[in-house]
Amino acid sequence: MTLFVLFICTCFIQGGCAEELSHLRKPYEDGVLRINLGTEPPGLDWHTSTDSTSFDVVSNLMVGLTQYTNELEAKPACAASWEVLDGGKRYLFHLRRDVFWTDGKPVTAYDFEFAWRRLLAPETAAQYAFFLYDIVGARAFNTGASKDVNTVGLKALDPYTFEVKLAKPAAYFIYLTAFCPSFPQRKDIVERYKDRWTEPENLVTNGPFKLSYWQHEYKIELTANEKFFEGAPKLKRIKMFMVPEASTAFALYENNELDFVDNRSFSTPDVERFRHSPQYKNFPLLRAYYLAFNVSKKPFDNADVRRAFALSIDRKVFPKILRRGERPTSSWIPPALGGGGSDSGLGFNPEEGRRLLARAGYPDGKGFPETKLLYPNREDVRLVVEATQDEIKRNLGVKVELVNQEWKVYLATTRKDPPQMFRDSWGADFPDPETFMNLFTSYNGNNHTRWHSAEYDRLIEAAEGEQDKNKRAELYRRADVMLCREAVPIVPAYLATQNIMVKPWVKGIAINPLDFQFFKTVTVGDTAAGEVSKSP
Amino acid sequence: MSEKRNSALQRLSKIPTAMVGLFIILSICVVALLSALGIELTPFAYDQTTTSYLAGPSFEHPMGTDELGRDLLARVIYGARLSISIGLTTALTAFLIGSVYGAIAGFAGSKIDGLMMRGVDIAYSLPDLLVMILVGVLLGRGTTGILIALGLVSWMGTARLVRAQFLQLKNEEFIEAAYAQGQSSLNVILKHLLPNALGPIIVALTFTVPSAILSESTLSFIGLGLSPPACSWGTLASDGWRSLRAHPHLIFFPSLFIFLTVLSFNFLGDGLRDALDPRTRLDKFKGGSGH
Amino acid sequence: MIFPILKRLFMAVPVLLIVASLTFLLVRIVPGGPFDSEKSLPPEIVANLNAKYHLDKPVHEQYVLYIGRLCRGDLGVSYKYVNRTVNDILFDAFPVSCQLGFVALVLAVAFGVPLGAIAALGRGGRQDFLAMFVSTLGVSVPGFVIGAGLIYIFAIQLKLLPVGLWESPWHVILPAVTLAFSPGAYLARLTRASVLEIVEKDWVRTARSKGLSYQATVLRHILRNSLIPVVTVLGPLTAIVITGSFVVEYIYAIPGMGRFFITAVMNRDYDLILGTTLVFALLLVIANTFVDVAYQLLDPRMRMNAED
Repeated sequence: MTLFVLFICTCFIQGGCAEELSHLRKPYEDGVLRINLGTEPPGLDWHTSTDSTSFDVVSNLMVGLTQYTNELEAKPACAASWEVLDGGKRYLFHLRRDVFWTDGKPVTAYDFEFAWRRLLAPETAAQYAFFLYDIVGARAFNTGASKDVNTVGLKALDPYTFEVKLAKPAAYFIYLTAFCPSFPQRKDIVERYKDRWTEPENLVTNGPFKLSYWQHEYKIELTANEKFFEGAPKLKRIKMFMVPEASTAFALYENNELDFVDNRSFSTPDVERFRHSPQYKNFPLLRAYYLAFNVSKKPFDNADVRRAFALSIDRKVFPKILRRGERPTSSWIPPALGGGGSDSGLGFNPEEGRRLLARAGYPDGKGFPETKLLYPNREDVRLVVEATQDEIKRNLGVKVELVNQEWKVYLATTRKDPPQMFRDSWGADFPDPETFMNLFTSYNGNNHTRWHSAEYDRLIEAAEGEQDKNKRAELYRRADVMLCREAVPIVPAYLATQNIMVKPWVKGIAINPLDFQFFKTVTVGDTAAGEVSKSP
Repeated sequence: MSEKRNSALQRLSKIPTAMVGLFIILSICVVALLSALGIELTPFAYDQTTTSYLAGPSFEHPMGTDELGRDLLARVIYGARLSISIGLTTALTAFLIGSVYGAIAGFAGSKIDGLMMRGVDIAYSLPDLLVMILVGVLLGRGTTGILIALGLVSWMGTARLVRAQFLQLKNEEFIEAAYAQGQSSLNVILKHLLPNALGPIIVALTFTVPSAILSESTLSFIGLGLSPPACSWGTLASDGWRSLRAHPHLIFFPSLFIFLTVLSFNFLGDGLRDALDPRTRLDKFKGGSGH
Repeated sequence: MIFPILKRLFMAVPVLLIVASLTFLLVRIVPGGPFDSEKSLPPEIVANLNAKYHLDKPVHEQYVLYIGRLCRGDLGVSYKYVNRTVNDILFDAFPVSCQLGFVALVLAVAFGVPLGAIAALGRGGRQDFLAMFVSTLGVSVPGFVIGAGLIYIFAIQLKLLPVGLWESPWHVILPAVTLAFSPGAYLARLTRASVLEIVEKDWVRTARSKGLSYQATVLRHILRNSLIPVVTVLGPLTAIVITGSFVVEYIYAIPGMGRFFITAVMNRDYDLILGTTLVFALLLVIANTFVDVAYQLLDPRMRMNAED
């Protein structure tokens, strides 16, 4: 019996060794990139799925009128050129004639017209509808005030000319055309397949890759689009796995089963171990994490209470526990975009916090009603909210209850009816303070705090149209002060960093603070033969 | 009857593994009790953050610290309270539900009995973790939800046992005698049937406790466990899972305690079963450990 | 012969019906429906969606519709995976879980039974204690801890096996071993007890006194006879494997039914929850039926051990 068992074991080990040797020989496949998406994208319709996972997939499947360079400039994509007329109130896009959908049909201005109208249509209920609010008649159409789609200032003048009329000039508008919600869509496909139009067998796209396979909760496979107008990408295939456990994903990377990992696959302890590896890179992101209040729920309808909470959190603890060079911030505009003035937000001042809380009627936290803090089921978020809970308890004497939900349920809850406090994050959609400040206007579908202020809206609108750089910065600053110091519907916590590790056989991974992951310039393999290094 | 119990205990004391198990369980319970009474066993509170993050075991922190600088020893002790109480409460719930259910089935006529046993079969047809997850989501996080979920999957074994015992003992002479004396049915159940059936029931419950502790830790791992900063061993182990390679102490110590406790309960249960079964020969325990 | 089997299977139908009904009830009581998140949808759209999925009808009507659908074999439609039918999803996920579960069961039997036999034969000694210790280890530690240990040793340190995913036959090994620990330990204890019983029996003594060698006696008589109770616990074994699969599929990133079940519960994806629950219940019922039948077929004098 024992002999038999031993025999089986030897077989395994021999087989395993052979496998390991083969790993040494070739731990990767030429032209195939393996990454981890973390979770299943809720969908791929770029009008209704607006989380970063969906964007990561869509931004490799599609291109819009323009596209981002690594320096975050907007350069031509579907649009070969454009004219800015009428003092910035009218844009004329001249489309290229050699961009095709994967089924061979050309990309035309009608595709953009259809897509933008669909984005603004109330039935679509697109969270990013506000994106196009600068366009004449857009807001009215989206809110249902106007039922006629022709009142919206966007029109396909002919198959290759697309005209957009803005209500007022907006300096950042061109950036919007590089971003996912503005990508074109095919009317016939969407109407024919309805809810299933993004399934691999139905979807048509125009970008560097096409969707070839989607095994739910497991992986998505993209293959190169040979007909891509910039030339076929060098990668043959991208395998996007969905491994929710960061430590499993990281172990996969170490075992050469993934070629590239980012924050989704890093746990805090892993960072410690690989900080000094040449494969590790860390760079700041235009993504901020913040604590939000639902100002319609007592006692957070009282600004004193909100301010007290803001003052009681020592943000310096976050980089200490997360250890990835996070930058604590009390202002809502990231320093890279001109914000961060020390008088913009509320710093750490527990005595003042306690005073305000007492003034609000809860001295030393006594009698404070039951408070819940909602957060999504992600490892590092748990650490942050636990630390926050601890800070509030220590400095104000208030015990906050932590509630966690799975990602999709969390997204739905924050949209529908968030509890008194919730943790949220916001990544820039384009490199301009507008993308941050716009978030808390009354019409932005991503503002879950239920806070709005006509004054704030006015400031933002004025800033959007302001041509003078200094005046514009001042308007945003004034809004920032209102947001972070006076009304305080949110407490900015810290700015994130992106942490990536890239295997030596992968070249061309683009790094940009908007955290877009474009893979069209990536190559796998083709390095000097035989130079395969063992994983760290 | 008390003679039987005494001899059972005597027999139990002859089984080394069972005694070791009992000793470990009692020690943990004592620590948990002391902690629950508010007696400070460590210089740190379980939810007290410090600035020494992720430290390994040292003199100051014998089990190290976690990502927020909290002392792991303090958290393990607090976890003992939670895990043991969850285990015991589940056993109690299983006992109550199961006994009542089994008593009714065993006592009532064969038709009702048949129906009720079908019910047990159906309950067995649902994998327990599945039911726990459904109930856990239904009732939300928090101790009550977990306890109800755990209780709902643990009562079937006890019910079957109680019913079997009742069926067996129902026709015994001393029961007839009790009836002849004019005692009510309820009296008969409580004073005569239940005490006699207690043996196997206690054995079954001894196995319910470790099963509950393990199930709770699995629920925590999935994300349905207790909310922070409350920490049972299960929560601690599942939190520490991510740091396995960098900081193994975070998963090692809670898992060690889960292991010891579950092992002890298993040994104790095995020992109890052997001690209570008059046919088991105890001489096999001489000259070697293990049962 | 066939008849009792069919009869047993037929009895399984009401069980499944009740399971379906209970789960239906449970899921409907849970607050929060699948379309609650679409608050910003105009009320007419929400009404349309609800009508489409019959969520606007009273619960008992929904129930009747549901049972009707079930009888036709239609398990419904998933809300999360945009109108993919539950049948589709389970069709993809079921083989994965089956493969994993099957390999795990085989491993559990292949290692658990000999372990138990070894323990029984070296009764009271070090062999016994060691074997039982190893098996108790399997049931005394949560599944994810075992998984962590195995991944650490075999995948990371020794680099023998993949860490996770489901890409090749090699990917089956670690998850299957992790999954096999619990049922394996259970089987070991059971085998030990039943072997011990047999060894006491007179006819074994007779065989040995007749001069048959120790090994021969073991192999020929004891093992064969003590495998019978093992077959009869297939029911609980299947249950253990199913519940273990939730955790194992999660930590190894395997797209099996367990993962879908957990995600479905979190998402309130009613039909998917019901579909997976039913499939699990069906598996268990089949396993239990198999047990009942085997029990009848094999030696009817054999009484079930007190071990539960």
